[in-house]
Amino acid sequence: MAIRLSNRDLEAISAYLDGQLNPRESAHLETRLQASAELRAALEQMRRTRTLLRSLPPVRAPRNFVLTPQMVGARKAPAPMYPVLRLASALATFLLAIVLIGDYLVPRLPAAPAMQASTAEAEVSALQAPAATEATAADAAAPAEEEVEGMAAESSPGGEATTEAPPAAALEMAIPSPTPEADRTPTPLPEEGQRAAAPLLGQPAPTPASPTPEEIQRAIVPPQEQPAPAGEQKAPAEQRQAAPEELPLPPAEIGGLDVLKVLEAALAVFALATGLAAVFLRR
Amino acid sequence: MDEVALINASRQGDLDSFNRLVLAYQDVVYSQAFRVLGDRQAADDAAQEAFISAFNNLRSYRGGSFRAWLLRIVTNSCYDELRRRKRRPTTPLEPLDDTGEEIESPRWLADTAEQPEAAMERVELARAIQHCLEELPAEFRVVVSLVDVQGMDYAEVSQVIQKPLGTVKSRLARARGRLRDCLQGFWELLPAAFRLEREV
Repeated sequence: MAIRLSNRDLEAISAYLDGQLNPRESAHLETRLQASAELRAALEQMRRTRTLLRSLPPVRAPRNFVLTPQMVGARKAPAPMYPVLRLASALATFLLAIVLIGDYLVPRLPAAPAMQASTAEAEVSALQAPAATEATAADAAAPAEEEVEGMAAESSPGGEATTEAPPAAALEMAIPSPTPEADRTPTPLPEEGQRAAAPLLGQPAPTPASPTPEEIQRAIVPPQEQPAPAGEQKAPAEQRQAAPEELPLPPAEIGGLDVLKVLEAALAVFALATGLAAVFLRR
Repeated sequence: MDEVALINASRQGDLDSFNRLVLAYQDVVYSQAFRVLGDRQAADDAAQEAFISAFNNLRSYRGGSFRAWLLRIVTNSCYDELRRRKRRPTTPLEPLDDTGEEIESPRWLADTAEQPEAAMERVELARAIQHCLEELPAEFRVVVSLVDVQGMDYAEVSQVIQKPLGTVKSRLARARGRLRDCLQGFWELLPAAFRLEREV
């Protein structure tokens, strides 16, 4: 009759036969075996069972299982494409995530038109300034340059604009310096816009009656020593004013948001298509 | 050429090198499939499937016992076959044993009315053991085949079935206990050498 043992005793006897008990467990089991005839009988039955199992004759393969190119060719064919598709899908997903994050971080659509409107206003006001204002603006620039000239004499001429601008360019810089705002304005009358920038920048309001032709000429063609400090002084002032308006504009102006949407859609479709193809090939 | 060189060449797509490995291990692989499935045709299919899968997945072989790696693949093939059988049972009812566990072997019903003595008159000892093996749950059958038929140690079996050592120990003990109970009815008919044999 089979002896009923607990699973724990069964495991202990089985492992004991295989030499898988540690010395302490073996000693404990041997002590119990000496005390229990039933446990000894169970051990003997388990030993016979194990012996029988191990006496099973080896089973020989009925044939050779060598593989032919046809056997593995059909299964290996899609393999080279799988990693490529998987990588492409992963990259597309990664790029899509970056584009989505970028799209989220740049100003949303409602903000862009407002900025465009404010920029357009500034440009229109500059272009509509009367001729008299041109003169006063030029005049206003001249005193500012003269005032700065004195300051420049005291300070060292090592400013960025001074060092970077060659003497030949000083003439151009005497007339309001080519700021990013001037570059941005697509108007064919750069002088007007640049001169009108002075009032916009909060410089002292010009007196309408003051300009004379000589002063205007002096303002337009100043001595070569003057422009560098003037340019050095004016450029940062204009940049300080222009920077907040300009930063968010380029994407809105070039229609970047539409490009982003198209890019997002393309990336999403590509990631999905390559991912599905990879899954299909894997199966 | 040694085994490592053959494996490396096979990884480069050299089918001849892999076929030399196939010839070296086909008996082991087929034997395991037969002990688990209990059917020669199914074992043949599982062994062939295992070698094809092994060749196609040689990159996943990380070194160690190549035999254990092959046995893991053929064991998985056997599980697949057993699942297929379960989805398409050949008998209307899945019989349960006295502990309520499902008996997966279709032969169980064919042999159920057969007394142990009659069975021994009809089959030799090996078939009696195979009959008892097939009454075990598949997880137990796999472990006892690996340890007592293939001669693997617990650590290797743990790698093959990807379970902890404690699970191997437990499944093996319970499998042996059930086999002992099953073989009890055949005991008087066994050759005297087996009845009297003792191991140290």
